[in-house]
This record gives sequence, structure tokens and C-alpha cells, in this order.
Amino acid sequence: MKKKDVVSGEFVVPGDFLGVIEEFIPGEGTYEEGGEIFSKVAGIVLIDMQNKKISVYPKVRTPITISNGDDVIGRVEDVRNQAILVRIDLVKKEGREKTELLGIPILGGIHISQVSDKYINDLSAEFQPGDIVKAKVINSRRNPVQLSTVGEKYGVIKAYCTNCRSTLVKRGIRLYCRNCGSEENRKISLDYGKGVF
Amino acid sequence: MEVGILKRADGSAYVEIGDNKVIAAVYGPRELHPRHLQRPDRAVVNCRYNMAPFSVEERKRSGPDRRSIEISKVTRLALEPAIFTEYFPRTSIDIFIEILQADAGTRTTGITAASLALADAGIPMRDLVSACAVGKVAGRIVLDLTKVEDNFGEADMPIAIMPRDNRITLLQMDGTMTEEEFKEALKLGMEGCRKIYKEQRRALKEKYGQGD
Repeated sequence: MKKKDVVSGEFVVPGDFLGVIEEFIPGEGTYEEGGEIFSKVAGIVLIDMQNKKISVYPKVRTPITISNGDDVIGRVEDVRNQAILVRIDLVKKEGREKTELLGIPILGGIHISQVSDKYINDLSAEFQPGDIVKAKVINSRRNPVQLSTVGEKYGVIKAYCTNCRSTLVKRGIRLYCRNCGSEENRKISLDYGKGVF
Repeated sequence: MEVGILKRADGSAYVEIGDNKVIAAVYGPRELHPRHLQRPDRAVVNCRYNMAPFSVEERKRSGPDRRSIEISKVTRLALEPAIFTEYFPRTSIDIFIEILQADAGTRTTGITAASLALADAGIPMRDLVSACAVGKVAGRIVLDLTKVEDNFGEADMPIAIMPRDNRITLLQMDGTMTEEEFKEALKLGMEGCRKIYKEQRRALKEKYGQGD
């Protein structure tokens, strides 16, 4: 196949030749094989001459992935001594308004040191299995994905009573069960009970 | 060829080559159940080739049969090398190919359509996959056989390639050819695939190439 130079703004399909690694760093939407850079999605070529980076901005709807800095919502699966496990269901990409549903199951973990800026003695006083948590992605390359709930924006946004499983309501800095009258402690987000992301 | 014709699918394509009419739909990457089939290091590609009962002259009984199970498998193997499956561990990418009208060469038309649907779904791929059939009819090598040519010809050979580096991902043959004939047929087939590839590009560009 003939190899011609591409320009910024050109439409490419998967497998299109974009350049060689001597002239560009392969960016998003591209891959490198045998020293040559090719497109892996259908989209528009973007050439960043300053950083010598070539990438393809997809014009098609691409599968959702999580990256560092994104906000996520998930359900607490397990509470351990040092960390909790969260099953991530919703993603809000950094700098974007829309929340997107993840089709792929992704597990996230929050380490005890990443729960809050205060000292935490007992994780089960901050989270319980079944709680809905809002968190920020701090390392998406690890498995499970590393999350953090440091900051008043993040934390539990919906919790269930450990006695009767009914929804808890916020009362001051603690949570209260209208059904059985028990009070519980959580790392509560500002958005608790509002049903908004 | 047309891309993105189904609203609910993540990616879809409709391809008409001669009297072959094929719809392909792609779903995923999505969660794979049962869990024990998940691969921790990559996505699993599932493929289903299905012929509509009204697609052939005499009504075909619906449901998978020996032929369509085999074609599903070879289609999967033809497309898998193009997909970056390692980007989506523990998931599945499901490809559905429905033959609405058949006139020989449906597996190649199906592969062509499925490759477009994959690109439409935004699944990262090394290359598009283009496919077409060659055969030998009345002693001559011909491209893209029709039903009559297939039934009364001496050989039929479907080919699928990744046009960028001419890597062959599917090569089957039914019938007999001499070595020289095979070489000629392969050359002709590759040329046919490249024509199909041009059409695939055009279809994608038509749908997504406009604007900014």
C-alpha cells in the first residue's frame, strides 16, 4: 500500500498509516507496529507539532474506559481491614457533564489511607457492604483500580441500615434509620441522599 | 454498504454485494456470563452467523446447523486477529451476522459487514478485514461467484485479508484447482478484497467523515 503523509483533520479508518516513530510519538487512537504508526479507530487525525505527538480523535462512539481523575459511582462489595472493594457502575469523565454507564464490570479499591484526610481506626465505621459510594480515580492502571474518597465531595451517597436494610437519612454528621431508630457512622459525601452525581 | 443502521447495537453495518444482503451487529465489549468463560487477560470474541429462512430459494429451516456453526467459527477466526482483544479483559465482544438474501459468498459478505460494524462500535482494530470469494467456473478463474456458478463450477475459494499488509485471515477452498490456478485465484481474490476495502472506507467516511 502506498504511504502518503497525513495532515491534521484528515479522516482515517483502522489500519491507516500515520507516520513512523522517528517523527511522532503514537498518541491515543493509534498503535505502533514495526516502527510505524497506524490508526486503530475511525476518526480525525490530530498532529501536535509541539510535542511531536500524533493521535486520532474517534468519530465513532467508543467503549467507555476509566482514566485518572474521573469521578465514579459504585457499590461497596466488601469491607476488609485495610481496604474496601467497590464495583464501579457509573463514570463521569473529567471535565465532562454527562455520566456514562459502564458496560464492563470494573472493580475498584479504596485503601484505608485514601478514605479521608483524617486518621481512620476502623474501616467498618466508614463503609458497609451495599453502600453506594462516589469516589475519584487515582490510579486506573492498577487492578483493582485505585480510588480515593478524600474531600467532602466524595464518600457514601446512599447507605442502608445494618439492622433492617432500610435507607438511612442524614442527621447532622451521622446517619439515622427511620425504621428501627439506630444511628450509624459513615464517610458521608456532600451529595448524600440527593440522588445526584 | 452502510454503517450504523441499528440504533440499539453498539455498532452495525448493512452490506449488499450483488444479490447478497447482510446485516451485521456488534455488541460490547460487555460483561461475559457465565464468569468461567471470561479471560483475565483479554476479551472473548463471540460470533454468530445466521441465515434467514427466506434468504435462499427453498425455505431454509431456521436455527443453527452444521454449516452455520462452521461459518460462525471461521468468521470469528477471520476477525479476531484484527481486534485488540487485550484492551478489554474479562469481557466479550459479540458479533451477529444475519443473512437476509443469499447468492453465494455470504460468509465473505458477512466478514466484510462485521468488520465495518466493529469499526462502527469504536472497537480498536489493527485494520479492517475485507473478504471476497474466487472460484473456477468452466475452466476459468472468476471473482465473486454467483449461486449458479458456485453450484456448477469446479472450485470456490473464500478469502479474507487485512489489506494494510495483505495478511490472510481466512482461506477456504471447496473443489479442485491446480497449483497455477490456485496462485492465480489467490492473486485475483486479493485484488477483489482491495476493491471491497475501498468500498468499506467509503462507507465509513460517508457516515463519519463529514463536518469538523
